[in-house]
Amino acid sequence: MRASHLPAQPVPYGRSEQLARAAVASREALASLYMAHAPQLYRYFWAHTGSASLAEDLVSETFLSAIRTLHTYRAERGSFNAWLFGIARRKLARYVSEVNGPLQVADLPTDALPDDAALHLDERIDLWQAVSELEGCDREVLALKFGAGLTYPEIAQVTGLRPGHVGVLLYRALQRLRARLAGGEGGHA
Amino acid sequence: MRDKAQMLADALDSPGSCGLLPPEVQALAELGRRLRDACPDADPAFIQSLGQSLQEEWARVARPAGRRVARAAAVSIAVAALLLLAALELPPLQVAARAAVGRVISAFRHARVEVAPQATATPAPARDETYPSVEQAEAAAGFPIRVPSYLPDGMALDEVTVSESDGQRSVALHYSGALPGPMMASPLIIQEFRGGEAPAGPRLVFEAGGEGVESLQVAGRPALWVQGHWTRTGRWEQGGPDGLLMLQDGDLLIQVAGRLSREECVHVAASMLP
Repeated sequence: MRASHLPAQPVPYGRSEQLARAAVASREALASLYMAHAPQLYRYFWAHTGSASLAEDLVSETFLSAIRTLHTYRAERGSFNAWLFGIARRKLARYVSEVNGPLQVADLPTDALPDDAALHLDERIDLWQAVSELEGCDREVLALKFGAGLTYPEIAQVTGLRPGHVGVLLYRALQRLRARLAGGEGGHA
Repeated sequence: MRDKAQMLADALDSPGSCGLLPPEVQALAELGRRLRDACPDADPAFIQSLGQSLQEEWARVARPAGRRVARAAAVSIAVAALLLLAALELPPLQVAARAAVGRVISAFRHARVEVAPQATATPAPARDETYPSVEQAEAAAGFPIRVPSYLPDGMALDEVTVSESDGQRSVALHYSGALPGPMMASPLIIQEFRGGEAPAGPRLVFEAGGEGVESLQVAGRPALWVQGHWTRTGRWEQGGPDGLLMLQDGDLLIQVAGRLSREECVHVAASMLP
Protein backbone atom coordinates (compact mmCIF):
# COMPACT_ATOMS: atom_id res chain seq x y z
CA MET A 1 0.00 0.00 0.00
CA ARG A 2 1.32 3.41 -0.86
CA ALA A 3 2.34 5.59 1.99
CA SER A 4 0.05 8.29 0.66
CA HIS A 5 -2.93 6.44 2.09
CA LEU A 6 -3.56 6.17 5.77
CA PRO A 7 -3.63 2.66 7.19
CA ALA A 8 -5.73 1.93 10.24
CA GLN A 9 -3.47 1.47 13.24
CA PRO A 10 -4.39 -0.65 16.27
CA VAL A 11 -5.25 1.45 19.31
CA PRO A 12 -3.93 0.29 22.72
CA TYR A 13 -6.68 -0.83 25.04
CA GLY A 14 -7.91 1.94 27.30
CA ARG A 15 -6.29 4.69 25.26
CA SER A 16 -9.44 5.62 23.35
CA GLU A 17 -11.53 5.66 26.50
CA GLN A 18 -9.10 8.13 28.10
CA LEU A 19 -9.09 10.26 24.97
CA ALA A 20 -12.88 10.21 24.74
CA ARG A 21 -13.20 11.53 28.27
CA ALA A 22 -10.64 14.23 27.59
CA ALA A 23 -12.05 15.11 24.16
CA VAL A 24 -15.14 16.68 25.69
CA ALA A 25 -12.96 19.57 26.77
CA SER A 26 -9.73 19.15 24.81
CA ARG A 27 -9.28 19.85 21.13
CA GLU A 28 -6.00 17.92 21.12
CA ALA A 29 -7.64 14.84 22.61
CA LEU A 30 -10.36 15.03 20.00
CA ALA A 31 -7.75 15.20 17.24
CA SER A 32 -5.94 12.15 18.62
CA LEU A 33 -9.19 10.25 18.97
CA TYR A 34 -10.20 11.11 15.45
CA MET A 35 -6.85 10.15 13.95
CA ALA A 36 -6.95 6.83 15.78
CA HIS A 37 -10.39 5.85 14.57
CA ALA A 38 -11.19 7.63 11.30
CA PRO A 39 -8.97 5.37 9.14
CA GLN A 40 -10.49 2.20 10.54
CA LEU A 41 -14.00 3.58 10.16
CA TYR A 42 -13.27 4.45 6.55
CA ARG A 43 -12.10 0.91 5.82
CA TYR A 44 -15.15 -0.50 7.58
CA PHE A 45 -17.52 1.56 5.44
CA TRP A 46 -15.58 0.86 2.26
CA ALA A 47 -15.73 -2.86 3.02
CA HIS A 48 -19.52 -2.55 3.14
CA THR A 49 -20.13 -0.10 0.31
CA GLY A 50 -17.16 -0.53 -2.01
CA SER A 51 -17.32 3.19 -2.63
CA ALA A 52 -14.71 5.72 -1.53
CA SER A 53 -17.15 8.62 -1.71
CA LEU A 54 -19.83 6.81 0.25
CA ALA A 55 -17.30 5.67 2.82
CA GLU A 56 -16.14 9.26 3.23
CA ASP A 57 -19.70 10.51 3.67
CA LEU A 58 -20.48 7.86 6.24
CA VAL A 59 -17.27 8.54 8.17
CA SER A 60 -18.22 12.22 8.22
CA GLU A 61 -21.74 11.55 9.43
CA THR A 62 -20.53 9.12 12.07
CA PHE A 63 -18.00 11.51 13.54
CA LEU A 64 -20.40 14.43 13.45
CA SER A 65 -22.89 12.45 15.47
CA ALA A 66 -20.14 11.21 17.76
CA ILE A 67 -18.95 14.72 18.49
CA ARG A 68 -22.45 15.97 19.19
CA THR A 69 -23.04 13.18 21.70
CA LEU A 70 -19.52 12.63 23.01
CA HIS A 71 -20.50 13.94 26.43
CA THR A 72 -22.94 11.04 26.78
CA TYR A 73 -20.22 8.39 26.39
CA ARG A 74 -19.43 6.50 29.60
CA ALA A 75 -16.38 4.26 29.62
CA GLU A 76 -17.83 2.13 32.39
CA ARG A 77 -20.64 1.07 30.05
CA GLY A 78 -18.34 -0.18 27.31
CA SER A 79 -15.37 0.53 25.11
CA PHE A 80 -15.19 3.61 22.93
CA ASN A 81 -14.91 1.35 19.89
CA ALA A 82 -18.21 -0.29 20.75
CA TRP A 83 -19.82 3.11 21.18
CA LEU A 84 -18.37 4.57 17.98
CA PHE A 85 -19.10 1.53 15.87
CA GLY A 86 -22.61 1.50 17.30
CA ILE A 87 -23.11 4.90 15.68
CA ALA A 88 -21.38 3.74 12.51
CA ARG A 89 -23.55 0.66 12.19
CA ARG A 90 -26.72 2.72 12.63
CA LYS A 91 -25.56 5.11 9.92
CA LEU A 92 -24.82 2.21 7.63
CA ALA A 93 -28.13 0.50 8.39
CA ARG A 94 -29.99 3.69 7.63
CA TYR A 95 -28.10 4.14 4.39
CA VAL A 96 -28.78 0.56 3.33
CA SER A 97 -32.47 0.76 4.22
CA GLU A 98 -32.93 4.04 2.38
CA VAL A 99 -30.87 3.43 -0.69
CA ASN A 100 -30.51 -0.32 -0.91
CA GLY A 101 -27.74 0.29 -3.38
CA PRO A 102 -25.40 -2.38 -4.62
CA LEU A 103 -21.74 -2.52 -3.77
CA GLN A 104 -19.85 -0.35 -6.22
CA VAL A 105 -16.40 -1.82 -6.22
CA ALA A 106 -15.59 -0.02 -9.45
CA ASP A 107 -15.02 3.01 -7.24
CA LEU A 108 -11.87 1.41 -5.91
CA PRO A 109 -9.21 4.10 -6.07
CA THR A 110 -6.49 2.95 -8.43
CA ASP A 111 -3.89 5.10 -6.71
CA ALA A 112 -4.31 2.90 -3.66
CA LEU A 113 -2.85 -0.08 -5.48
CA PRO A 114 0.26 -1.64 -4.03
CA ASP A 115 3.35 -0.57 -5.89
CA ASP A 116 4.57 -4.09 -6.36
CA ALA A 117 1.23 -5.08 -7.88
CA ALA A 118 1.20 -8.10 -5.59
CA LEU A 119 -2.54 -7.86 -5.49
CA HIS A 120 -4.03 -6.87 -8.82
CA LEU A 121 -7.04 -4.62 -9.14
CA ASP A 122 -9.20 -7.36 -10.64
CA GLU A 123 -8.47 -9.64 -7.74
CA ARG A 124 -9.23 -6.91 -5.20
CA ILE A 125 -12.54 -6.22 -6.88
CA ASP A 126 -13.36 -9.91 -7.11
CA LEU A 127 -12.61 -10.40 -3.43
CA TRP A 128 -14.88 -7.70 -2.09
CA GLN A 129 -17.49 -8.27 -4.77
CA ALA A 130 -17.71 -11.81 -3.46
CA VAL A 131 -18.05 -10.47 0.08
CA SER A 132 -20.93 -8.26 -1.03
CA GLU A 133 -22.80 -11.35 -2.18
CA LEU A 134 -22.64 -12.98 1.26
CA GLU A 135 -25.30 -12.70 3.93
CA GLY A 136 -25.37 -9.60 6.12
CA CYS A 137 -23.88 -11.28 9.19
CA ASP A 138 -20.96 -12.62 7.16
CA ARG A 139 -20.35 -9.24 5.57
CA GLU A 140 -20.42 -7.54 8.94
CA VAL A 141 -17.83 -9.73 10.65
CA LEU A 142 -15.57 -9.63 7.59
CA ALA A 143 -15.87 -5.82 7.42
CA LEU A 144 -15.14 -5.45 11.12
CA LYS A 145 -12.19 -7.82 10.97
CA PHE A 146 -10.54 -7.16 7.62
CA GLY A 147 -11.91 -3.72 6.91
CA ALA A 148 -11.76 -1.98 10.27
CA GLY A 149 -8.99 -4.30 11.47
CA LEU A 150 -10.57 -4.95 14.86
CA THR A 151 -9.36 -7.79 17.05
CA TYR A 152 -11.67 -10.59 18.05
CA PRO A 153 -12.35 -9.11 21.51
CA GLU A 154 -13.05 -5.73 19.91
CA ILE A 155 -15.52 -7.29 17.48
CA ALA A 156 -17.16 -8.98 20.43
CA GLN A 157 -17.53 -5.62 22.16
CA VAL A 158 -18.94 -3.97 19.07
CA THR A 159 -21.41 -6.73 18.26
CA GLY A 160 -22.28 -7.78 21.79
CA LEU A 161 -21.32 -11.38 21.00
CA ARG A 162 -18.98 -13.60 22.97
CA PRO A 163 -15.42 -13.76 21.53
CA GLY A 164 -15.77 -17.48 20.93
CA HIS A 165 -18.92 -16.89 18.93
CA VAL A 166 -17.16 -14.21 16.90
CA GLY A 167 -14.46 -16.73 16.08
CA VAL A 168 -16.95 -19.25 14.79
CA LEU A 169 -18.85 -16.65 12.77
CA LEU A 170 -15.67 -15.39 11.19
CA TYR A 171 -14.46 -18.88 10.40
CA ARG A 172 -17.73 -19.74 8.69
CA ALA A 173 -17.85 -16.43 6.83
CA LEU A 174 -14.37 -17.07 5.42
CA GLN A 175 -15.38 -20.60 4.49
CA ARG A 176 -18.38 -19.32 2.57
CA LEU A 177 -16.33 -16.64 0.90
CA ARG A 178 -13.72 -19.17 -0.12
CA ALA A 179 -16.38 -21.43 -1.56
CA ARG A 180 -17.91 -18.54 -3.48
CA LEU A 181 -14.56 -17.53 -4.90
CA ALA A 182 -14.02 -21.11 -5.95
CA GLY A 183 -17.34 -21.01 -7.80
CA GLY A 184 -19.44 -22.78 -5.19
CA GLU A 185 -22.87 -21.70 -4.05
CA GLY A 186 -22.27 -21.53 -0.31
CA GLY A 187 -20.07 -22.53 2.54
CA HIS A 188 -19.72 -25.49 4.76
CA ALA A 189 -21.81 -24.30 7.66
CA MET B 1 -15.04 -26.26 14.59
CA ARG B 2 -14.28 -24.27 17.74
CA ASP B 3 -10.70 -25.52 17.76
CA LYS B 4 -10.19 -24.50 14.18
CA ALA B 5 -11.91 -21.17 14.79
CA GLN B 6 -9.54 -20.54 17.69
CA MET B 7 -6.55 -21.47 15.56
CA LEU B 8 -7.73 -19.03 12.94
CA ALA B 9 -8.15 -16.33 15.59
CA ASP B 10 -4.63 -16.93 16.82
CA ALA B 11 -3.27 -16.87 13.30
CA LEU B 12 -5.00 -13.58 12.49
CA ASP B 13 -4.66 -11.69 15.77
CA SER B 14 -1.26 -13.04 16.81
CA PRO B 15 0.62 -13.97 13.67
CA GLY B 16 3.84 -15.78 14.45
CA SER B 17 2.59 -17.12 17.76
CA CYS B 18 0.88 -20.17 16.31
CA GLY B 19 2.58 -23.28 15.07
CA LEU B 20 1.79 -25.39 12.07
CA LEU B 21 -1.81 -24.89 11.03
CA PRO B 22 -4.17 -27.35 9.35
CA PRO B 23 -4.34 -26.61 5.61
CA GLU B 24 -7.91 -25.33 5.76
CA VAL B 25 -7.16 -22.93 8.60
CA GLN B 26 -4.04 -21.76 6.84
CA ALA B 27 -6.03 -21.16 3.64
CA LEU B 28 -8.68 -19.15 5.49
CA ALA B 29 -6.05 -17.10 7.29
CA GLU B 30 -4.43 -16.34 3.97
CA LEU B 31 -7.79 -15.37 2.48
CA GLY B 32 -8.35 -13.03 5.42
CA ARG B 33 -5.00 -11.35 4.86
CA ARG B 34 -5.81 -10.90 1.18
CA LEU B 35 -9.12 -9.29 2.14
CA ARG B 36 -7.34 -6.96 4.52
CA ASP B 37 -4.81 -5.97 1.87
CA ALA B 38 -7.53 -5.49 -0.73
CA CYS B 39 -9.43 -2.97 1.37
CA PRO B 40 -8.10 0.50 0.49
CA ASP B 41 -6.99 2.95 3.12
CA ALA B 42 -8.45 6.41 3.47
CA ASP B 43 -7.05 9.27 1.46
CA PRO B 44 -4.96 11.42 3.83
CA ALA B 45 -6.35 14.56 2.22
CA PHE B 46 -9.86 13.51 3.17
CA ILE B 47 -8.81 12.58 6.70
CA GLN B 48 -7.12 15.92 7.15
CA SER B 49 -9.97 17.92 5.66
CA LEU B 50 -12.61 16.18 7.71
CA GLY B 51 -10.48 16.49 10.83
CA GLN B 52 -10.41 20.26 10.41
CA SER B 53 -14.17 20.36 9.89
CA LEU B 54 -14.76 18.27 12.96
CA GLN B 55 -12.59 20.54 15.04
CA GLU B 56 -14.92 23.37 14.09
CA GLU B 57 -17.98 21.27 14.86
CA TRP B 58 -16.41 20.38 18.19
CA ALA B 59 -15.86 24.07 18.88
CA ARG B 60 -19.50 24.70 18.08
CA VAL B 61 -20.71 21.93 20.35
CA ALA B 62 -18.27 22.43 23.21
CA ARG B 63 -18.40 26.19 22.74
CA PRO B 64 -15.44 27.27 24.82
CA ALA B 65 -15.39 31.05 25.26
CA GLY B 66 -14.76 32.96 22.07
CA ARG B 67 -14.90 29.92 19.79
CA ARG B 68 -18.56 29.61 18.98
CA VAL B 69 -18.11 30.59 15.38
CA ALA B 70 -20.44 28.21 13.61
CA ARG B 71 -23.19 28.47 16.21
CA ALA B 72 -22.93 32.21 16.43
CA ALA B 73 -22.99 32.46 12.67
CA ALA B 74 -26.22 30.47 12.53
CA VAL B 75 -27.83 32.68 15.12
CA SER B 76 -26.51 35.77 13.42
CA ILE B 77 -27.95 34.70 10.10
CA ALA B 78 -31.28 34.16 11.79
CA VAL B 79 -31.00 37.63 13.25
CA ALA B 80 -30.11 38.97 9.84
CA ALA B 81 -33.16 37.28 8.40
CA LEU B 82 -35.32 38.86 11.04
CA LEU B 83 -33.84 42.21 10.17
CA LEU B 84 -34.50 41.62 6.50
CA LEU B 85 -38.03 40.59 7.18
CA ALA B 86 -38.42 43.62 9.39
CA ALA B 87 -37.24 45.71 6.47
CA LEU B 88 -39.85 44.15 4.29
CA GLU B 89 -42.67 44.34 6.80
CA LEU B 90 -42.08 47.07 9.34
CA PRO B 91 -41.53 50.61 8.03
CA PRO B 92 -40.12 52.06 11.30
CA LEU B 93 -37.23 49.64 11.19
CA GLN B 94 -36.69 49.94 7.50
CA VAL B 95 -33.57 52.06 7.34
CA ALA B 96 -31.57 50.27 10.00
CA ALA B 97 -32.69 46.89 8.80
CA ARG B 98 -31.76 47.55 5.21
CA ALA B 99 -28.27 48.54 6.27
CA ALA B 100 -27.85 45.35 8.26
CA VAL B 101 -29.27 43.22 5.52
CA GLY B 102 -26.89 44.72 3.03
CA ARG B 103 -24.01 43.46 5.12
CA VAL B 104 -25.54 40.03 5.49
CA ILE B 105 -26.17 39.60 1.80
CA SER B 106 -22.63 40.55 1.00
CA ALA B 107 -21.40 37.92 3.41
CA PHE B 108 -23.10 35.24 1.40
CA ARG B 109 -21.58 36.55 -1.77
CA HIS B 110 -18.10 36.58 -0.38
CA ALA B 111 -18.43 33.26 1.40
CA ARG B 112 -17.29 34.71 4.65
CA VAL B 113 -19.15 34.84 7.90
CA GLU B 114 -17.12 36.37 10.65
CA VAL B 115 -18.26 36.82 14.17
CA ALA B 116 -16.62 39.38 16.38
CA PRO B 117 -16.04 38.43 20.02
CA GLN B 118 -18.72 39.45 22.45
CA ALA B 119 -18.19 42.81 23.99
CA THR B 120 -19.57 41.78 27.35
CA ALA B 121 -19.05 38.55 29.17
CA THR B 122 -22.17 36.47 29.59
CA PRO B 123 -22.54 33.21 31.46
CA ALA B 124 -21.58 30.29 29.24
CA PRO B 125 -24.77 28.57 28.14
CA ALA B 126 -25.25 24.87 28.56
CA ARG B 127 -23.86 22.83 25.70
CA ASP B 128 -26.05 21.77 22.83
CA GLU B 129 -28.12 18.79 23.78
CA THR B 130 -28.99 16.15 21.24
CA TYR B 131 -32.14 14.07 21.33
CA PRO B 132 -33.22 11.13 19.20
CA SER B 133 -36.84 12.27 18.95
CA VAL B 134 -38.80 15.49 18.48
CA GLU B 135 -40.87 14.78 21.57
CA GLN B 136 -37.83 14.63 23.84
CA ALA B 137 -36.33 17.72 22.26
CA GLU B 138 -39.59 19.58 22.60
CA ALA B 139 -39.63 19.03 26.34
CA ALA B 140 -36.11 20.42 26.58
CA ALA B 141 -36.73 23.32 24.23
CA GLY B 142 -39.79 24.53 26.08
CA PHE B 143 -41.68 25.40 22.92
CA PRO B 144 -43.49 23.35 20.29
CA ILE B 145 -41.30 22.18 17.46
CA ARG B 146 -42.64 22.33 13.95
CA VAL B 147 -41.93 19.27 11.81
CA PRO B 148 -42.28 19.29 8.03
CA SER B 149 -45.04 17.13 6.65
CA TYR B 150 -43.13 17.02 3.38
CA LEU B 151 -39.59 15.74 2.93
CA PRO B 152 -37.70 14.76 -0.22
CA ASP B 153 -37.58 11.05 -0.90
CA GLY B 154 -35.08 9.16 1.20
CA MET B 155 -34.76 11.71 3.97
CA ALA B 156 -35.28 10.71 7.58
CA LEU B 157 -34.87 12.49 10.88
CA ASP B 158 -31.51 11.68 12.40
CA GLU B 159 -31.47 13.70 15.59
CA VAL B 160 -32.65 16.95 17.12
CA THR B 161 -30.35 19.45 18.76
CA VAL B 162 -31.53 22.03 21.26
CA SER B 163 -29.23 24.99 21.70
CA GLU B 164 -29.16 28.24 23.56
CA SER B 165 -26.88 31.09 22.81
CA ASP B 166 -27.14 34.56 24.30
CA GLY B 167 -30.69 33.93 25.36
CA GLN B 168 -31.73 32.76 21.92
CA ARG B 169 -33.01 29.21 22.13
CA SER B 170 -33.22 27.21 18.96
CA VAL B 171 -33.69 23.69 17.74
CA ALA B 172 -32.09 22.00 14.76
CA LEU B 173 -33.62 19.02 13.03
CA HIS B 174 -30.85 17.01 11.38
CA TYR B 175 -31.96 14.81 8.54
CA SER B 176 -29.89 12.20 6.79
CA GLY B 177 -30.42 10.45 3.54
CA ALA B 178 -28.84 9.81 0.23
CA LEU B 179 -28.91 13.00 -1.73
CA PRO B 180 -26.49 13.70 -4.56
CA GLY B 181 -23.95 16.45 -4.38
CA PRO B 182 -21.23 17.58 -2.02
CA MET B 183 -21.24 16.40 1.56
CA MET B 184 -22.62 18.70 4.20
CA ALA B 185 -22.81 18.26 7.93
CA SER B 186 -26.27 16.88 7.21
CA PRO B 187 -28.02 16.66 3.84
CA LEU B 188 -30.85 18.69 5.36
CA ILE B 189 -30.92 20.85 8.48
CA ILE B 190 -33.99 22.73 9.61
CA GLN B 191 -33.45 25.28 12.35
CA GLU B 192 -36.20 26.97 14.30
CA PHE B 193 -35.69 30.13 16.29
CA ARG B 194 -38.36 31.44 18.63
CA GLY B 195 -38.75 35.00 19.77
CA GLY B 196 -39.00 38.24 17.88
CA GLU B 197 -36.13 40.02 19.58
CA ALA B 198 -32.70 39.84 18.09
CA PRO B 199 -30.29 38.40 20.64
CA ALA B 200 -27.44 40.48 21.90
CA GLY B 201 -23.95 39.19 21.52
CA PRO B 202 -21.98 38.22 18.44
CA ARG B 203 -21.86 40.83 15.74
CA LEU B 204 -21.56 40.05 12.09
CA VAL B 205 -18.82 41.64 10.05
CA PHE B 206 -19.37 41.61 6.33
CA GLU B 207 -18.00 42.98 3.12
CA ALA B 208 -19.95 44.92 0.55
CA GLY B 209 -21.79 43.45 -2.40
CA GLY B 210 -24.55 40.94 -2.81
CA GLU B 211 -26.03 38.56 -5.35
CA GLY B 212 -28.06 35.42 -5.37
CA VAL B 213 -30.55 36.62 -2.77
CA GLU B 214 -34.26 36.73 -3.41
CA SER B 215 -37.12 37.82 -1.20
CA LEU B 216 -40.30 35.89 -1.73
CA GLN B 217 -43.55 34.86 -0.12
CA VAL B 218 -44.24 31.34 1.05
CA ALA B 219 -47.93 30.80 1.76
CA GLY B 220 -48.25 34.50 2.47
CA ARG B 221 -45.29 34.64 4.85
CA PRO B 222 -42.20 36.69 4.10
CA ALA B 223 -39.19 34.60 3.19
CA LEU B 224 -35.66 34.91 1.92
CA TRP B 225 -33.84 32.58 -0.44
CA VAL B 226 -30.04 32.67 -0.57
CA GLN B 227 -28.16 30.61 -3.14
CA GLY B 228 -25.21 28.67 -1.83
CA HIS B 229 -24.42 26.02 0.72
CA TRP B 230 -22.69 25.41 3.99
CA THR B 231 -19.39 23.62 3.63
CA ARG B 232 -18.10 20.95 5.95
CA THR B 233 -16.12 23.61 7.72
CA GLY B 234 -19.23 25.61 8.52
CA ARG B 235 -18.53 28.30 5.95
CA TRP B 236 -21.06 29.61 3.53
CA GLU B 237 -20.19 29.27 -0.16
CA GLN B 238 -22.06 31.20 -2.76
CA GLY B 239 -23.36 29.60 -5.94
CA GLY B 240 -24.65 26.31 -7.14
CA PRO B 241 -28.22 25.13 -7.30
CA ASP B 242 -28.57 24.68 -3.54
CA GLY B 243 -29.43 27.31 -1.02
CA LEU B 244 -30.91 28.35 2.25
CA LEU B 245 -34.48 29.43 2.81
CA MET B 246 -35.52 31.57 5.77
CA LEU B 247 -39.17 32.02 6.53
CA GLN B 248 -40.87 33.98 9.28
CA ASP B 249 -44.17 32.87 10.72
CA GLY B 250 -45.08 35.15 13.61
CA ASP B 251 -42.38 34.88 16.22
CA LEU B 252 -40.95 31.75 14.63
CA LEU B 253 -38.08 31.86 12.18
CA ILE B 254 -37.58 28.72 10.14
CA GLN B 255 -34.33 28.13 8.30
CA VAL B 256 -34.12 25.28 5.79
CA ALA B 257 -30.65 24.47 4.48
CA GLY B 258 -29.42 21.50 2.57
CA ARG B 259 -28.63 19.96 -0.73
CA LEU B 260 -32.02 21.01 -2.02
CA SER B 261 -33.27 23.18 -4.84
CA ARG B 262 -35.19 26.39 -4.18
CA GLU B 263 -38.44 24.64 -4.99
CA GLU B 264 -37.71 21.80 -2.62
CA CYS B 265 -36.75 24.18 0.19
CA VAL B 266 -39.96 26.13 -0.32
CA HIS B 267 -41.93 22.90 -0.35
CA VAL B 268 -40.33 21.74 2.92
CA ALA B 269 -40.79 25.11 4.62
CA ALA B 270 -44.39 25.46 3.47
CA SER B 271 -45.20 22.06 4.91
CA MET B 272 -44.19 23.37 8.34
CA LEU B 273 -46.81 26.06 8.36
CA PRO B 274 -50.08 25.46 10.17
